[in-house]
Amino acid sequence: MCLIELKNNEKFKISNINGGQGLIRRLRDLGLITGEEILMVKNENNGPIIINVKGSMIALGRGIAQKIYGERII
Amino acid sequence: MFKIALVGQPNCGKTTIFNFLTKSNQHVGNWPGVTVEKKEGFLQIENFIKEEDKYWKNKNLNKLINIIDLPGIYSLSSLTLEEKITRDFLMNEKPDLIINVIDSNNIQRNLFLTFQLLMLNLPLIIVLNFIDELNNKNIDINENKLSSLINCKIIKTNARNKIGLEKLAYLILDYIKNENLISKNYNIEPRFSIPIEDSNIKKSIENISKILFINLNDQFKSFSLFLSFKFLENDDDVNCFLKKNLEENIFKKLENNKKEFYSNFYNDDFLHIWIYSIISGIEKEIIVNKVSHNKKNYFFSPDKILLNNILGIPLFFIIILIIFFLTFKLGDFFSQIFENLINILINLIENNISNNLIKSIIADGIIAGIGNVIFLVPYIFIMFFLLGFLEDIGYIPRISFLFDKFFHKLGLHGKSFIPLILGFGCNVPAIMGTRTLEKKDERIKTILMIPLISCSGRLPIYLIFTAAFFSRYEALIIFSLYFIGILTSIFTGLLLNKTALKQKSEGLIIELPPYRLPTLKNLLFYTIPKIKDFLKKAGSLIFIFTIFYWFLVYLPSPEFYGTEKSLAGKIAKIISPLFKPLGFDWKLSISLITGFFAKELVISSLGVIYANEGNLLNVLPLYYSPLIAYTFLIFVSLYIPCLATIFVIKNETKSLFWTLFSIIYPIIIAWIVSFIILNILKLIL
Repeated sequence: MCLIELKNNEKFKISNINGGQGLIRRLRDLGLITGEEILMVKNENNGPIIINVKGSMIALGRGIAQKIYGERII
Repeated sequence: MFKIALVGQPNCGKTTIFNFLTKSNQHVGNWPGVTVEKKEGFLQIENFIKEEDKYWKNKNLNKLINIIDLPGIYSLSSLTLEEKITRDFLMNEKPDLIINVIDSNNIQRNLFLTFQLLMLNLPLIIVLNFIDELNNKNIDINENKLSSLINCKIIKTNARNKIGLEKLAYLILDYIKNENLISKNYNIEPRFSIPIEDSNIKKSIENISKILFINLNDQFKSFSLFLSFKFLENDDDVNCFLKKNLEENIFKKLENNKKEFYSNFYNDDFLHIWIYSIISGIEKEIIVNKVSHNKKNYFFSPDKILLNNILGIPLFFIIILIIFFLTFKLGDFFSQIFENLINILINLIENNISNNLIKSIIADGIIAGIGNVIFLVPYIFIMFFLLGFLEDIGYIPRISFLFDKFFHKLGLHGKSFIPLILGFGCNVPAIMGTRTLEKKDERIKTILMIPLISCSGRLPIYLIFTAAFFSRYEALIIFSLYFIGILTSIFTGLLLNKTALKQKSEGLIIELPPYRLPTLKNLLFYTIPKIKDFLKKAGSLIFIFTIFYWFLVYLPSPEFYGTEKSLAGKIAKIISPLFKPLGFDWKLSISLITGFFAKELVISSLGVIYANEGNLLNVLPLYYSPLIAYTFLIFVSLYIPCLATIFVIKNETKSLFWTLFSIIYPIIIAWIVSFIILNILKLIL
């Protein structure tokens, strides 16, 4: 599933990022790597989202969030 | 001279530490990318040494230890300009010591950068900053353990309250004193060893590192480990660098090594995963007192309201309105005091100086010119103070979140909004702030949008004209000018997005730092240099120009002072036909030319021209209708970036075309907008 499908306060485990090298590296530098568990802090039905990665809040544009795949953790 | 580099991730408190060590007026902000360029200062050694220490005697202590504050970066890659600046500095200048500042709240991600710094093989001290915030969560870090794991000195600080900073200064001085720096030899083998049992990945990195160590020039040998890691990571710049600096067959060999390396792993970010797994291993060993898994509680964050879907954007506008309201109301109060002082001064001069020429230069030229600008100080102070408050508290990156969706229509993302907001203060740092944007097109687009945002230099013109013509609707008129500027700026973005600069931005990626209450000291550190800059400008550029301009108005003879027969009048005649349709006479026209050098000069030069007839506030309404005055204000708010801004645009775009565009386009758009508004208002009124 895609990160964008997550609701607020749900957890997510990244499996892959479907984007250019530049994008993938920038996200990795912020800690978004394969296997990382992240928390959805804010996802309204449009506009950017906020996630919690390794304890910091990161805002991501919706287009970028649509490129991040993984699975929901319960 | 010794060089010490401060390196760390954004918002780690680096700049506060820099300010403490150098006592410099370096600004601290709470949004990623405040230090867009490296800033330098000297360690104030006298403050930290004990008198009996002989080592420091007979040395020029003021300029002995140079501290360089490098931009905040997440990684030593070369994906953004800031990363390039930092990496180039570290590899070319080889500082004697790196101080790596870490936000203790986020040790994992911060250590990721530390790891890359360690691989650079340069001496390193780690500063665990914000340790108080971590302790408040009942968590502590065992720094001795960390120190033994990665083999470097570690110090805990709480920079905001100056805790631990003196100790850091002592540590630096001890290091300088004890290390035999004079005979420093850089072609040393990597000292740092990745703290993990042998693994295939480690072996591959070390193998390539060994090959590099043998084959690279002496000056790069010490970076072998780092280069090896980055080569395996497929860093474009490092690939190019090695291709250039190695013999062909050796580079081929390395490429084969890499291919083989990758054939063993199918996940392409395994290098990152590997490093993070080592780091989380380290983290488990050094974190103490961890009561439970600490979950951030979002419900009590101000973001619940400030980033609310419905309330967020209206709240932003309310905040901006409050800033303007405070700027003008408080500014009015304080500038009244200034004005009274200036009037007293003028009276004093008129009564005490008998020589008419000198009296005229001082009273009509200098005081009329500069006085009209000096009274602006309170407004600038308050505006920068409040903008600084928004930055320090951490609201600015949230604005980019709020407006991200809207900015997509311009082919930009929310991060572009940050430089635009800073443009209210001064366009120059705002344009430099665009370095945090990744794509070239979005940078140029944002750079071209910024000059249309009214900077504080345009304020004196607004203030004097509104006071003279629209005293009852002052705030409303000024706000309308800002509003027209913003609309024109957005229109420009749309226009460029549809035509020359179509490349889309990748999208918003920005860290939202925790809200932190600003300290008064940091805010003053931010504001006072701006006032100093302004006074410097008033004392130099504006001062000299005003005298020069006074001569233009005075010559060829005093009887023509301020008339069309004066030199200024003759010059103005050449260009004034251009402004006829807008209703500007030659005096307004020539003041527009002077505004090219600095916006404040528009009001200075009008002050000089009308000096014989009294205070501008009383004189202007005699010559111009409110309609013309308003048209003039619109034109001034849009028409041309000042000289300093143009220089920065040239520097940042590195393009003559876009620099010329940034000059010509606003003149045309200003003319069109003012012409339209003038004629609409004529029809209505």
